[in-house]
Amino acid sequence: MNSDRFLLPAPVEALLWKLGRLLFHVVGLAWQLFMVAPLIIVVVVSFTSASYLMFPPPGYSLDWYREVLSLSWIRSAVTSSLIIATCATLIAVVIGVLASRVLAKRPFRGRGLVEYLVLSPLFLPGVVIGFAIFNVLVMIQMDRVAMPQMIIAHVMITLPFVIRSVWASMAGADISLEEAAQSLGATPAQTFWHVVLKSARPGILAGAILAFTFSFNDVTISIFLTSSRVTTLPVQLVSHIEYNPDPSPAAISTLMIAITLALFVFLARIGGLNAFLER
Amino acid sequence: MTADMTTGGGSSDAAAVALQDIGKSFGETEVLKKVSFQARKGEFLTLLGPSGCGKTTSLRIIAGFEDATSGDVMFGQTSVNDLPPWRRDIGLVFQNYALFPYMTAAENVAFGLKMRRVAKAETATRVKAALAQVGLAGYENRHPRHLSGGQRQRVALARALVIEPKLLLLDEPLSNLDAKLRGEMRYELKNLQRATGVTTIFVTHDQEEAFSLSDRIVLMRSGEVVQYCAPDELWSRPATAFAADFIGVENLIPAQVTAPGQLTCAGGLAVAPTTVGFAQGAEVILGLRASDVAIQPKGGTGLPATILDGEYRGRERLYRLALPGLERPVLASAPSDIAFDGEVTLCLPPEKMMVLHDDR
Amino acid sequence: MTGKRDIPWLLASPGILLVTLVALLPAAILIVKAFQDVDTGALTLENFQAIFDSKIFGQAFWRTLRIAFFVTLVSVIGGYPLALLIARANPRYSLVIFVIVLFPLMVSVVVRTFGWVVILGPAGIVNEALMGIGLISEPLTMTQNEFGIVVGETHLLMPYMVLALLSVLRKLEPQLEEAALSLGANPLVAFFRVILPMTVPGLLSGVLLVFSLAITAFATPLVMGGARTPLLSTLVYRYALTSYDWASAAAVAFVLAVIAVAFVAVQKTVAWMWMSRHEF
Ligand SMILES: Nc1ncnc2c1ncn2[C@@H]1O[C@H](COP(=O)(O)OP(=O)(O)OP(=O)(O)O)[C@@H](O)[C@H]1O
Ligand SMILES: [Mg+2]
Repeated sequence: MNSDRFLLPAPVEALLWKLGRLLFHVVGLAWQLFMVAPLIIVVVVSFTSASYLMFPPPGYSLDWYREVLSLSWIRSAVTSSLIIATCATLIAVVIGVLASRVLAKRPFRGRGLVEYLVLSPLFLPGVVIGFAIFNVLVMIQMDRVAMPQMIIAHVMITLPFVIRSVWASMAGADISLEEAAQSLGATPAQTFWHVVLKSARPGILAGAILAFTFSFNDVTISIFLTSSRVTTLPVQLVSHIEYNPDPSPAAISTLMIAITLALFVFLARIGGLNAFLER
Repeated sequence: MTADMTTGGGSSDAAAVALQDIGKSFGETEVLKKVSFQARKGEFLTLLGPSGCGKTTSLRIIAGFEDATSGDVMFGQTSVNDLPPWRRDIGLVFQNYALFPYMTAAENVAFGLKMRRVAKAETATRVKAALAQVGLAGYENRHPRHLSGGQRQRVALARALVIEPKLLLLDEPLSNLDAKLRGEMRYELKNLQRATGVTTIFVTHDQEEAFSLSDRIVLMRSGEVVQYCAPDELWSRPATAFAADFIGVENLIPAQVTAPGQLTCAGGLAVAPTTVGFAQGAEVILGLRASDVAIQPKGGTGLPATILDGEYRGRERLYRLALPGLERPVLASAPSDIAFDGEVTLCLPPEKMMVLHDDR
Repeated sequence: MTGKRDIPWLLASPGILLVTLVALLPAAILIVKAFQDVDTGALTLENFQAIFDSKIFGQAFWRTLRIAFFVTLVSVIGGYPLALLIARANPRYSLVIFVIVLFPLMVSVVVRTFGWVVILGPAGIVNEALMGIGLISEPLTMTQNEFGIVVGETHLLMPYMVLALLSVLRKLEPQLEEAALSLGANPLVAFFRVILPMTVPGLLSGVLLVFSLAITAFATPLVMGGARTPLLSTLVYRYALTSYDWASAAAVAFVLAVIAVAFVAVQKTVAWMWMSRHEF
């Protein structure tokens, strides 16, 4: 019919398309490499025996881990980071579950407003919020920041992550379950505790893990609140990198990657990777 | 060059499409085992079989979306194994229609012509004619989301037919429609196929659809062709117990050949059908349709039986009967205006009995 | 309002209160500060006058936009094949790529950027390789400059692009592409005529999201760019905590916030318009 519209004989064309597909896969592989390269390099370099940053390392040792453990600030920074992230996560989960319940249940007047209010930290630049909080703390003369201020700020950072995850899992839940519970004589409070929370548990767990991760890793806001009384691991790492052009930051980074990997595996186990796909 | 196919070559009953010993494996699992069949020019061929038997896979191999592990797909005299889908000139209708959602009905239909660089004016007239042919004149500017299921189906058909394909492939195109519409579309599909004379391969797991539409049926089972024949032959002479079961033969009774022309059923009942092709002592299945078992009031010539229950089926009634000498009940149907109960006499006509290989 | 209607607000009030007190109110105070004279507190545009006159602000402003542009561009170039592979590959490989794309999202930005500092540094693998094959004789400078920031931020934001594309690609039936192929389109034509048009909404939302996040990114330019290549975000930090010029810091923060919020508004509007017009 119209076979003259094809320039090449079929076998040649088929071969070309096979090559094209191969090329596409190679490109895909290259971008995967791009995504993992910095993490792998950091882990490898942390075991170097050299005293400066070079790749591949000339030899391997645990020197830099010993060096890092002897740093004066490392223990307090790790401890306070863990405390801050844990407290912030717990508080954010409680507040976030309540807010998600409101958002997920039924439409009501002003729901859009509530949504925008509680999610607004996502829309404002982190530096602006960080500086704004610091500015207020100075105004009310509380700028010798201690743990509580840091924790409250971290609750605010992590709240949107909790809400989005819990909201998604609650929105997917079957409302007839609640009605069944109530028809069986459960009070609203009992229903909430036994039915709503139970069915939203994967979402709550996933939200908590994300909250912990993003609190533990935050730099942008914590850097404005760091004081002589409280600091966090990533903030200390930033200045450590600036003043130490040696592999010791790689050792700290590797420890942080290990912690994140544990959290990630846990998140994947509870099926929380889908939380990333929800809108 | 094998690339370009010759059209209209050969005599009128030459195969338009032929599968020759097609084998297909996905990794370890063998999905098709030496499948062969062919469709003559203008024929309506149906692939029939239970879910997972490899119908869709066969169709995708013909369309060029999957490469066969072994064997050849022939269009006329030439192998098309190396021909990619877009060079095969095949019209394809999917179960979910697969209309391009952001294009209007007319744009959908025009797509194949555009790919063939058909002139604008000609495209417009052909698109219009194709839509009119499926009864959708006036729907040119509708988007698929504003069309009903049946209308989408028609657009999909028009889109496949407008390119005047060598071959039309349909994968369970009616299964997403409700029962009434399915009946109507079946009728229209057959008319359209006759009018255009396009060679058609149709996939379904619904035996009724297969019987009403096809010139020939390929009955498949776990990647193998069980029977390949005209609908009436499949109806009257299913090749195996599986075939008989699949097309709805109600009574399938295990039996053994005791002598030429002699069977003993499980339970001891002896019957006398023709047993040509079966050795003495062979284990077989005796097949008999419920409609071929005659029920008479007690006392006539035949076998005494007891009615266990009866199910009202409108025009007729389907009975389950206990028969001395048979382990399991026999199914028999009789006109529903006479109701039988209790003791009756059954007549099992030997000439209606099918002696079948047990392949279930 | 009836008692029953009050419950939504009551349950949400801790969250609303927290965000209002800790984020929105401070941000509002900062905005006011941007318009106030440092000494007298009178309303004025002097702070903006000052930063617009300063050379460093202009440089940082254009550099921020330039970097965001390239980051978005590269994110599309890399994110599209990745998303396509995740959507099309067999389940196992698809999961592997998905994990490879998502896991970095959870790793500290500082760690990820430091990884690129090591890779792109004077004794890093890239320089070693280029010198090894004799393409260059001196190490190239790839950290402490815009190139390094673009690489670091692309790594930072690529997952968001992939996720935005996946949200549309996952809904796309593979039969659509096969329908196009059966109608005579070769794979490239099928991609441009069928797949690409259908992913435009995801592409658009990904582009807007990545661009706005690139503009506000902070830790990556801080670690990668050092002091030599300030962006708007790092400029806020520098004015606030290094030179203690809070009036300028507030003014820059205001500019940054306006751009960011404008982008969110555009993104929401586009998404809304698309939803209402092309509901398929
Ligand atoms: N890409 C694939 N990889 C592995 N196995 C496959 C693949 N495609 C199909 N199969 C297997 O091949 C067998 C036949 O599949 P096919 O889709 O051809 O069946 P079918 O006859 O069309 O069934 P249905 O009536 O359910 O559509 C099935 O067991 C299926 O699981
Ligand atoms: Mg199928």
